[in-house]
Amino acid sequence: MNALILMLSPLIPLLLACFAYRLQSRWWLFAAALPALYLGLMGEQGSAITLPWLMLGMHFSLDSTAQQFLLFGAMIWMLASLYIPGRDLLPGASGYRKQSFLLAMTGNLLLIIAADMLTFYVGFALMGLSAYGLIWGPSQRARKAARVYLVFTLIGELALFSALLLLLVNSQSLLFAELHTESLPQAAVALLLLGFGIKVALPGLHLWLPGAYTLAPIFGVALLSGPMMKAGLLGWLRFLPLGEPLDPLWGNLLLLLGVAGVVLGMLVGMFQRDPRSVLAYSSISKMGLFSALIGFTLNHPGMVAGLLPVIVLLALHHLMVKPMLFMGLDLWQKGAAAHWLLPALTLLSLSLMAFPMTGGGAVKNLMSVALNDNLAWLLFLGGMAATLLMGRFLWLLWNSKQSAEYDRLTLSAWLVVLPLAVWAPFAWDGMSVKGSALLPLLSAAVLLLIGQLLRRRFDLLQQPMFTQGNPMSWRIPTLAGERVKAESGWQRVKRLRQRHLQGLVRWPVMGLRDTAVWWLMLMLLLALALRN
Amino acid sequence: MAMSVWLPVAILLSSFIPGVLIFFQPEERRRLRTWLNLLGALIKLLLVGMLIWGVFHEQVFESRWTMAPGLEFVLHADALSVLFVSLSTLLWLVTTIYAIGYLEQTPHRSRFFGFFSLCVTATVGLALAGNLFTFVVFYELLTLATYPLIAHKGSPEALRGARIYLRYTLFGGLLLMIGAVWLHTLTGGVEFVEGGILQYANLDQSTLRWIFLLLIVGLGVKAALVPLHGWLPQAMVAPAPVSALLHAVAVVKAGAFGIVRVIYDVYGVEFAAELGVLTLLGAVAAITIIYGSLKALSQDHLKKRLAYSTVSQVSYIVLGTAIVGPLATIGGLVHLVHQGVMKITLFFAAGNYAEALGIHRVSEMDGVGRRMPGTTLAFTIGALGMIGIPPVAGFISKWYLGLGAVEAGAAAWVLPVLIASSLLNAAYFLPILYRAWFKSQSAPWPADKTAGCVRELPDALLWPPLTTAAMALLIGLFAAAPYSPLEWAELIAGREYRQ
Repeated sequence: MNALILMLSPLIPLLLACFAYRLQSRWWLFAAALPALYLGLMGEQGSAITLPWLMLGMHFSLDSTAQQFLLFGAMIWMLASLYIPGRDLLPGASGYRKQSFLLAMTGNLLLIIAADMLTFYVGFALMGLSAYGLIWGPSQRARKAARVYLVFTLIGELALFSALLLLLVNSQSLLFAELHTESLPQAAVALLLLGFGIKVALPGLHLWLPGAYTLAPIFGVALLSGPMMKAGLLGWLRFLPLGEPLDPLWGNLLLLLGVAGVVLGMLVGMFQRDPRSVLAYSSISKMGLFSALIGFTLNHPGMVAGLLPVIVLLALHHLMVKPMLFMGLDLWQKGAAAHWLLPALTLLSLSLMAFPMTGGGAVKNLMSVALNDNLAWLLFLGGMAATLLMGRFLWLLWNSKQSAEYDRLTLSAWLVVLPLAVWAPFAWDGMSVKGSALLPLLSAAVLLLIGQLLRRRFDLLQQPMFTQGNPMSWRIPTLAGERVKAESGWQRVKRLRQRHLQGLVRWPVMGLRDTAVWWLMLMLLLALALRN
Repeated sequence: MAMSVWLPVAILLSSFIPGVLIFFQPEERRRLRTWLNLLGALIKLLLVGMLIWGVFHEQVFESRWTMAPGLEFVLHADALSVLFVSLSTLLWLVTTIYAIGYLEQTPHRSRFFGFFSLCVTATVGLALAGNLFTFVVFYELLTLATYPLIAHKGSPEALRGARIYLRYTLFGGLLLMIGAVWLHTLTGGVEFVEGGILQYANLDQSTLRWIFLLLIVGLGVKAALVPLHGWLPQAMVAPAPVSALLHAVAVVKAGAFGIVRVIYDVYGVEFAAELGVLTLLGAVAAITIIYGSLKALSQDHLKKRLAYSTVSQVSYIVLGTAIVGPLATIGGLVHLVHQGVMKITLFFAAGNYAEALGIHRVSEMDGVGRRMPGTTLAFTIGALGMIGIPPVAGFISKWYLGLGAVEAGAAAWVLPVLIASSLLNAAYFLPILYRAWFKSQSAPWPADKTAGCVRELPDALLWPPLTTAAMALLIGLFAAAPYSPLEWAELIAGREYRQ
């Protein structure tokens, strides 16, 4: 059963991608990540499946790292799907957002559950190339950003391709489990550092990042900064011979580049005027910290057992928090309630700064312990960079313009995921995050979203305008009598609300107050879950 | 007669007889001509199916006639022939359907389809040739059968392209013939044997090197090795189905196939490496790969860009042959099939653009994806495959070529060539895809023939590219499945490196 779901988790988004031109509701995209979420929460570790006839033989398996990446990745994919603007869901919408989204998701999930190098590579390539469509925009600058991204991604793919060939001939097996670490070709290590270094934006290889992060639509940035960027990190964890002696050159190089990333990200980020750019450089700074930690781990094979799970945890925390910051920023700029958002964004920022009582703080403590008092200066430097950058971000946020309208659903969904993003590391039980500990929280979140939807629909059904038509049909005659076909149910709801319901008595739709109540309940649940 | 004797002959006749009959049909008997064509193609497909099964189970298929003392005409099916025969047969069927749709309402169709069938007969004949003499016969026949197809339109431009083609290939054919006769006089008949025969012949090594040079230059003309490639971009004046067949199956592939035959089954790859001729060939292949891609980069004419892309891609096969080792062999052989399926898709699509909207140039393709989604989807799959993006077939070829290079210790120069080629392929294919899908139409279509039609094209034009694109995707996605081209290439490599 688990093996079947393991196979389905990349297959479902792939199949949906084939029919994406017909999907007009974002809930399809939302649902595509459900098998992955299930695996993250309740999948049995160690379940595996081999498909010998697929390409050159594909192997999927679910280990603890994969499970955690799936859990947190799936949540961000689902949340981001709600942020896709309605016009991008229309048939014939340019940019092919739905296809890109689903294909990138396929690739991302595939590489997480990959148990062999080729499967990982296929997923990585699929994800990297499809993300082009998530960045592309009709403006000159967005087109250029997408092009730069694509060139870097292609170079990364080819470096990885060559590294794979060298590794395969060296160890005569594609499986990660059988990867030989002795007599590893030096060129392969260099190519791995290059190939994944582009994805994690090592200084010098980061040139694609600022453009992509500032010009892509918000759901694209959320995905790039979260699940996709961490895929590069996962690549290092899977491919590099951690725990085996290696020429110290590579560890030192990575450490050096990482520290350079932390410092440069901080220095350049502080001078940005756009809060999004600040977040972008903060990503470079943060990923520099990761790279440095991996470099350190490469040079200290004896400490791998303690360090690796904490690095994963830190990555997962960042995987959640950074997209949340981007999406929160978008909500803010679209004018969602300021008195709620500012504290929430501050909370997220604090967590990124590793403030006590936040998930980030908890992970940092774990990290200090695992590092055994080594690299204290690095953690200090990283913390300082994060603090400065987040301070700058909040300051810019406070002074930035707010405009137009936001989608209430995106706000509620964002608020639901918030406590998870900030406090999920508390569900850590020594080796991994217990997905089951987050289960009550998530089911509550799902209930909340369903409630939100039902109330909207219910709300609509009460309107006389609606009951004149066939209430079972979503093809509602409008005032002028024309039938609107090109819209999704969702957009119809929105349009009807805007056009016809204005001035009529508004039913109490779940608003911020309700969300707040839910939020408090979730906190309680979280507390309960953690006590167990 | 036993099946093992008549099957190779029947496979040849299944396209030869319809071809001859079609010559004598008056122009307006369209239905009969179509029936003859399709019947021939389907019978051939059936026969080839039997052949595949037989060869897989190590049955021997051979027909032999003595033309003169010491000169034998031999048809013989081994695993390598089967690879090429099945590719030709399958793509012939698809191309025939496409050509029927494409040439609707144009003059001289009987002449066209007659030569078209002869062209395939010659291709299959040289795939089944059991010795060098038979190979040369079919090789020359192919040259002659293709000339009228390239010149088909009859315009001064077409005649010029065809004349250039004829000059190049007759010159190549002459060199090949000299080499073959020379070898024949030394050995008294050169049979194709898996693993090669010349290493046992005890001949002067420098003589063998000279003969190798003659044979490879002769074959290299058709395989479009730089600097013998000049005819190929000129031959793109031919109608789209001819270009498709020319680039994917018939002429270019015949050259590449010949090189594979000479190295593996005449010289033997290890012996050829001993002679030191493979290094030179590898260098030529590498230069051709890079040069073709560089030239493709600057072509605005779509078919010319595709033609230079062929120059580059066919040399992957030669490169795989020039590297000693089973993995590189697999890469080269499987690319024989993969390149064919992908390139035929691209040419079908190019033909469709020209046919429906009058688009001949890349710069006219803005927004064509919205207007012709089916064709553009097929083109996209083909192009991604050419770049070598998984899971399309081209990735598998690139993977095995790279692997073979690493295994043979040639990674230091082969991997950079493969990477540069992939980047160049991306540089000339991705802008096309970008124009087609992401840009919006910027100028009226040059000649819109399908304005007001509900569907983008008639079935006979739309389905062939979609079919071959699906094939390109599936043979990559299920590369490890039984009877896939990859499995077959592994079978051949296993038999070539048996001893």
